[in-house]
Amino acid sequence: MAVFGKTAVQLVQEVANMDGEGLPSFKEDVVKKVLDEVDEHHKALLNILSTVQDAGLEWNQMEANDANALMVHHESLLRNKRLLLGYVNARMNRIKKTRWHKGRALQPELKERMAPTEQQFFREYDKLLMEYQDPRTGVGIDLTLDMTPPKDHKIEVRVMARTGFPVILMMAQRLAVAMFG
Amino acid sequence: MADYWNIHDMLAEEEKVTAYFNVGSTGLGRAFDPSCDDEDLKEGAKLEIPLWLTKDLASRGMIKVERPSYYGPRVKNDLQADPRCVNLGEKSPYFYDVGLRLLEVSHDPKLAELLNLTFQRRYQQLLIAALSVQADTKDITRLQRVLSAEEKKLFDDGRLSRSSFESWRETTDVCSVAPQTTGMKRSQPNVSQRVVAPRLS
Repeated sequence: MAVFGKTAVQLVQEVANMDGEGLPSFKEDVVKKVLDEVDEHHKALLNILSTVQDAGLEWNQMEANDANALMVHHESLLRNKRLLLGYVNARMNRIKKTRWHKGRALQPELKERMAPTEQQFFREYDKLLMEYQDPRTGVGIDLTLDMTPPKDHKIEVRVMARTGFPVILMMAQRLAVAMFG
Repeated sequence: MADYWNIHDMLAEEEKVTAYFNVGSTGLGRAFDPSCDDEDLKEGAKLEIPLWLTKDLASRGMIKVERPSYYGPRVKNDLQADPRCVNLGEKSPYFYDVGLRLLEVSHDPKLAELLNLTFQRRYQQLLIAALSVQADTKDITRLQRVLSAEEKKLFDDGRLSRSSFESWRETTDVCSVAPQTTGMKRSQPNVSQRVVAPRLS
């Protein structure tokens, strides 16, 4: 019998303890076990429902014991769903980050630890980003190159015409920031 | 309040609380309690169940939730004597989160007050330790041991903020003010707006 989400908690604990970099290998066996538990809860739930229906009762006439068990199974299903989604989501965010910081090539040791679906996600995420950065279809800049803003707040400009009046004051600075910043 | 995607919220809800079952539960006797000799859970059973399971059951009156001992009078006395000495990390890493979730069920003003006071008193000390430059490393490790998970996050963020401030202050590359702007009164934003672009004549 299921253990009320205990198995799935292992997965979440693992991603909660992840350090700054790296990715623990995808625990396919544990995920599968959780899915089996979900199946078990689902079957138990249907079982209770069918006994109620067989007895010819309306929903609000259900035995309190049955209703309680129904709730417990239902809550367990939702809990397992949330934990699994949390696990996959945390890993997905980590994989996205890898694309931004480590570039297009997937390191082999990282690839080993990813599930096939995660590898596919990486490829498709990469495709999207490349499309966005492409000069024909997008902005035309490699956005991953400069992840931090420049230290120096001043920029160099070339004066194109003599205007005869040195009003290079706050306004000009603001203009420059607006144009190039 | 709880964020569906937050990993720490998920773990906080895994904390066990004691529940009294006002109604039985069909077919779940062994699942809840392996030593149970019946398939069904009996009415009136007292069990430790995870927090996430309690909310909807309690709101339907199926169970009655009892607070974990770390919100009880003994810990309260300790907290009132010296909030800094109580090891929350050991009692419950999610002392505040669990407390807030229990409040959703019980609406007990005393519990709310306990959480509030505890946080107020401990936060002050936490902040001083996190932000002070000369903090003793021994003190810091001692403090980190007694913090709850939520406090630890605040503490780490505080340390990070302090070290970022230090490194900003120590930067040698001081921004020089361009000579043209030295005469400007920066405090008057209108000045720059009044500057009219010179006419090209």
